[in-house]
Amino acid sequence: VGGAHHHRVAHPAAITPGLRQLTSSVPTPRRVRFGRYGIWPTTLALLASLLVILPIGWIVSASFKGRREAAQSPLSLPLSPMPENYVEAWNTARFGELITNSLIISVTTVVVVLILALPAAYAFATFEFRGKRLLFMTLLVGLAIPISLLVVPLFYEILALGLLDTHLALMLPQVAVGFPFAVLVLRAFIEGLPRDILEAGKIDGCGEIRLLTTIVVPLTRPALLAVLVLEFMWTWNQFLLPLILTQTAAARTLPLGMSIFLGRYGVNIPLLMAGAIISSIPIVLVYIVFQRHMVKGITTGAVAGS
Amino acid sequence: MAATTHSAGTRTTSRSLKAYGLLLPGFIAFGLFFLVPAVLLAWLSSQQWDALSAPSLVGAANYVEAFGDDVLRTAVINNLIWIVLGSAVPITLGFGLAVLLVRGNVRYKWLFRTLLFLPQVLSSVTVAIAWSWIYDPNRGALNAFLEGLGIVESGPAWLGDSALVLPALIVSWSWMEYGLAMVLFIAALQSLDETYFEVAKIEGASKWQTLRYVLLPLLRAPLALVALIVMIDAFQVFDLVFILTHGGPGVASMIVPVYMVLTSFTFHQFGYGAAIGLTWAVLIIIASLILLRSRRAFGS
Repeated sequence: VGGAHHHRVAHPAAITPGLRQLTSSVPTPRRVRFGRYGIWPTTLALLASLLVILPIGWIVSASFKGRREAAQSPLSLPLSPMPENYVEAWNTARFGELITNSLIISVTTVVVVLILALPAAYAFATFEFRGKRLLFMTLLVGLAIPISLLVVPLFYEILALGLLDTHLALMLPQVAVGFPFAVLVLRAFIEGLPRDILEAGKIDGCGEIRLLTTIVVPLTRPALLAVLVLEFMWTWNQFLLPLILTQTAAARTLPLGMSIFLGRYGVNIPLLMAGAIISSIPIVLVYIVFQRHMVKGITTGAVAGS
Repeated sequence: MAATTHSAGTRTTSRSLKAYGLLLPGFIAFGLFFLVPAVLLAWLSSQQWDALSAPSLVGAANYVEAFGDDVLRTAVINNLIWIVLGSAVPITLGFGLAVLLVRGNVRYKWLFRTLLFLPQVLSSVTVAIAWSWIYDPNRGALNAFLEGLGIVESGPAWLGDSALVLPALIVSWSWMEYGLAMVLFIAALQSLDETYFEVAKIEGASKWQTLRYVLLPLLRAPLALVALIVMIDAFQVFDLVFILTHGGPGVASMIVPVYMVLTSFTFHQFGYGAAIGLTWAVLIIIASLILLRSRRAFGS
């Protein structure tokens, strides 16, 4: 045993872990000193968090005030909290309808994006075919061009299809907007999968669709979830498409409803702030629950897209 | 290798066909609602059209008009300022926070991370509503704060002053955007080999020296990547400006996409709007390619 140990230490490849062991076990005084310094980084992080805490705190506090109180003393805590602002905001902005529309549109869009993007990503990752580079470049262009530049033709296209003011009017373009990112992330993930598993499926004589549903889907579940959460957030937060493609409340979504609310009740600060908070709660909940997946999707997408 | 025998060639073709089959549904949707509008935009840019009478062909006249358009020039300059400052500020802030949260001995890291990323998930409309109130000259939080501290006697109209409006908008944009840079930097920092830092520690490097001579060189490639992504995001900005100022006061905060939408839907110059949109789209593609190439040169 001793000989083997000696040999291992002498081997150059073993030096790095050995070093790590050395540094993590020996300098106990150093650790203690770091513990003392821990106060400063934490204080710094706390100060940085004021960036988020202050504006949001002001908004929450303003949302519980009376109108005059909010205008006269914006920063103080509410004298007597008025939760009824939330009820009023809910009823005036018709949050029930807005949230229903947003949910229908976001959920459907995301499901469709995944159903369309997974086979495409699988094809990009495992097949060689003519025009592969060109098609992929098209997706990258789709990622770089903001939809704001295309809204005029898009408006007339949706008008010509007779879809204005419908849920479909918002879902179809949003699917097109979300598709490139989903393909990019899923392709990167599938490329990282062990090849022999996919090959084994092929030898078993699976059709491509069966291979996708029985082998690729279970293996890509983490990436699918990450894409799902991100695409949901983007669809949920989409402002421009509903602005251009809806004219009545029939398919109006939460962000658009909020911007109209801002235009109409801009002077009623407590009402406005209560509305801003109500409208943020759903997406903040999604974020808190799926934070890890969201961050993973962002980092994978960042690397895959360049 | 595939084309050597007939049967292998057929197999390649049938595999290609399978690939096209898998790509088709997605590309139909993408084509219909992204590529078709893009082609229509190109066609529209050669027309004069007010949406009431029939469009008439004017050739390159819209593009010629764009060259002499002072508002467009302002919009382009504002956009460029936005791309530079609107990526520099979030990147710096995101970098600092990521270093602090990964390398710093911070308690409750996960809590800070969760909190600091929060603005990134809010909708631009919510953020716009919040900042419209923060910036409100008379009843807003910022002026109340500054006046309370005695820094100013009566605070400025942040969004109503043509000298302040663009910086003010970029601040609220940076508030939304730094979280993205932060999580990307956090991922990059976490993937670094710990050995480098241990060696630096053993060598007796100060914290500043470690940052300057170990961390920054290691982060060159990720830094270029984050810069690319945040810049493309800054290129795409629309909502905040449209909701908060409509490009005003006057044209002080006008940016190209907002000008395009106003030209089209408010002034009913659809052909001209399309010419602006297409030019800007082409510029974005060129800029992205340059950034992508320089990132590769810079990163490796």
